[in-house]
Amino acid sequence: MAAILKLVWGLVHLITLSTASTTAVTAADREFGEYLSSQCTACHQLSGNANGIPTIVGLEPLTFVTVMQAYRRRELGNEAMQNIASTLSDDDIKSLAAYFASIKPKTE
Amino acid sequence: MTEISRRTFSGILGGGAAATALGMPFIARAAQPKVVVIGGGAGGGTAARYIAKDSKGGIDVTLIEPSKMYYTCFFSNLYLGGLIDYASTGHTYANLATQGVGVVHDWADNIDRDKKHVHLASGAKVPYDRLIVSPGIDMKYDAIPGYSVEASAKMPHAWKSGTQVQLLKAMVENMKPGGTFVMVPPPNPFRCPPGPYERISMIAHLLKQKNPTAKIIVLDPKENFSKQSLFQEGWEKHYPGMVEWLPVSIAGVINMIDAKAMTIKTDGDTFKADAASVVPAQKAGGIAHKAGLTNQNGWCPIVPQTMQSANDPNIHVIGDSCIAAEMPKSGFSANSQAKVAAMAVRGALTGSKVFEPRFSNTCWSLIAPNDGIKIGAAYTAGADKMESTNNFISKTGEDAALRKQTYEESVGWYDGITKDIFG
Repeated sequence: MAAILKLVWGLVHLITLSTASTTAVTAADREFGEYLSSQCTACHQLSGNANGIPTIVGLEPLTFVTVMQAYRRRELGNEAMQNIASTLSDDDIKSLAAYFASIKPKTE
Repeated sequence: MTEISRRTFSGILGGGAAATALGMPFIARAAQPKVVVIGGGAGGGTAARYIAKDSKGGIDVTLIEPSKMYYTCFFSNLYLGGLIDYASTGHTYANLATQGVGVVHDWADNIDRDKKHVHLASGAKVPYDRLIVSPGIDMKYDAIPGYSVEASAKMPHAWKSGTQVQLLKAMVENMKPGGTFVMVPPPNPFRCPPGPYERISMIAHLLKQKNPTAKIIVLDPKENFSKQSLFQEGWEKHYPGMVEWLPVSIAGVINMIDAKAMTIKTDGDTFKADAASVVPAQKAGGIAHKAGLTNQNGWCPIVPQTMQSANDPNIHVIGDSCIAAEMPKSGFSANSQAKVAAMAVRGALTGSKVFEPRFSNTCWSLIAPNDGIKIGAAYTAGADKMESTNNFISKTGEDAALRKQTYEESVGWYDGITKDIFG
């Protein structure tokens, strides 16, 4: 829970400061995003269940892009996320954002 | 000999799964390309699920796995430490069967690569257009003099989960007060590089509660190991004086194991154990050898871009059986490789889009309750190996809050990856 609160706080902070607010995600390739997402789903559940690892489905694309860029800049502090983010280009991140925004969390 | 097709699954599967399979028009199915997956672990389960899911019924997927309940190796150490129930590491194939995967509980006995058939122990044969081989590991029992299948009942390797893990836990719990547990880790390469050292940590945790004067001696055939400084710092912190790790340069090469006498002889000494876990050198699962997919070292060479066998382009080998260095042999790696293989197979059989493959791995380990550590990397497909593009590892001296968060993250990962594998 603490980790989620920390992440939410980080999001608010970063969205305020980030220049990513001008980033358009509408042109992203959803199919490519779905392919890339298979790297995420080893940990993040498509159902939206969160248990020690935050949910990323249904996130606003801008939020997703902002957070991933922050991980890539190592401004958010999880090494596994920093590592994966550093392999992603801006276009990769936009494609992932478009894909995860299109997934509706399920309630189990 | 019987040829298995979707039409015969009703006699093999439970009703729900068979109804799903039979609910699809037979004519359409007959024209479908066939993918067979051997092995229902982290690699095979993921590959079968992703091909079925992403082909949206366009590929006929059959998973061959003898066990009806799969117990994961990952997190089995937490069971040894008394932190989780054994049952919580078990997963059925019911969800895969309702998600478009034909699940056959049988033993894949051999592969006819010319006719493209998998032969089952029951006598049936299963045709394929593409085959995914994910049989995990087998033990090289004869790599340590005196060790054998029989000896493993006294000194369990417990490296494929199952009853061996339950046996090992019972043996540790029944050690005499102040007794000695001896751990023999395997030489490289082997399944789960940090695994032996997490096992030592979890057994130390168990002994600290139940038998605090007990000792753990580690007779390592190596000079160093994964996350070494992190584990050794943790052993000193949580279990001071309990764990004695001896590299081969100090303990010597093991030249005889006597499982009845519970002794392990090295070049320099004889160690008497009250309980022991001996994990021998490993090789690819048996069917990979029978089918001629292995090299002289006992592992399967692959084409990194597609995970195709270097010996047969109609076969993809994933998970612990394949040579995917620099990737470690782990459940996470197998899951990652499975997704690349699934994409390549769909592309080859249905013409679907194939993207540049990307691989990743993270291995979490637990040193003590709430003291989690991790190591990981991202990889690209090089010409003849997986190339690490960047990597990370936990640091010594991290604060307790971060270690607790890392542990909680590993619990979330377990939940996530088992759903990714088993649906």
